[in-house]
Amino acid sequence: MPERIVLLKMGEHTLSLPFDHVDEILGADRAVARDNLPEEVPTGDGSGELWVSSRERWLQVREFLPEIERSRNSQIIVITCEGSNWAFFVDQVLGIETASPPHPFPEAARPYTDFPFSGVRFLKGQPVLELDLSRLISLDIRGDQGD
Amino acid sequence: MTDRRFITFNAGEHNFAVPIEEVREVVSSSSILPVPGGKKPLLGIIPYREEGVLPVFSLLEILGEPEIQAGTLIVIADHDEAPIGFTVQGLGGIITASGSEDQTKSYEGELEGPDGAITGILEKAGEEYVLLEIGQVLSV
Repeated sequence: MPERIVLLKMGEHTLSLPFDHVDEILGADRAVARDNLPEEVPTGDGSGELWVSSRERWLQVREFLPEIERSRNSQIIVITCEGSNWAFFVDQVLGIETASPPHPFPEAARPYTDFPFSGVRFLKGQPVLELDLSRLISLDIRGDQGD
Repeated sequence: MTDRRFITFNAGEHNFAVPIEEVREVVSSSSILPVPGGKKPLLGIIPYREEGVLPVFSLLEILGEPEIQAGTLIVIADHDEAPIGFTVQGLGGIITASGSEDQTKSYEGELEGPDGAITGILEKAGEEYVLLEIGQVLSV
């Protein structure tokens, strides 16, 4: 049974996220420097420099792949995972499509990448790597824990 | 020694021989999808049958030698009951090592690798082949 995915471009890579976990997709120009946030926003001790307002919540915006520079096409994707919301810069959102259910990411490859993949889907016959959101957020933990 | 059949291929300056029963397939390497954040010797993944995809590694990089020219073929074998692929430059053929005519000796070259991956040298018809136990090549 095909499932909906959000297709992302990150540098030379095309990656997918499960559509059900995507809350909002915003322009990168919505990001606000920490110093310009309203005073009442609890930024805690985090070191993040850029934040975004999403559905009346302020979220720190993190990098998916730090080595990729943002461009004028860059966007912010807000995801929901394990009851929290997270915002990430992405190079570009390519679309919302239907793809095959995921096959497992090969275990033999895991020791050779630090990036968290949950599986591989097929879109128009081509493999697309799917990000493991639970592991992604655990790499850099601190989300908005909800209202 | 009883007769054994091997698939032979080359990578870099080396000729390799792998027991034929260890090789599933040898396919073109034209469509390797790089994995973000992937580190050598992992080159990427390719679509593969009911498993969906399999990971592809540089055989030379695993054996401690830089891969100057990307391999054009992928040798597919099993590792922990799952398929994996190794890039090689060219397919030599299928040879039979006869216990009465062909020699094997221990390997003393510069290639390195996990214990049990290189099992020796096969000499046949004036050629030398590095014998690989390909299921051991990714062992740590």
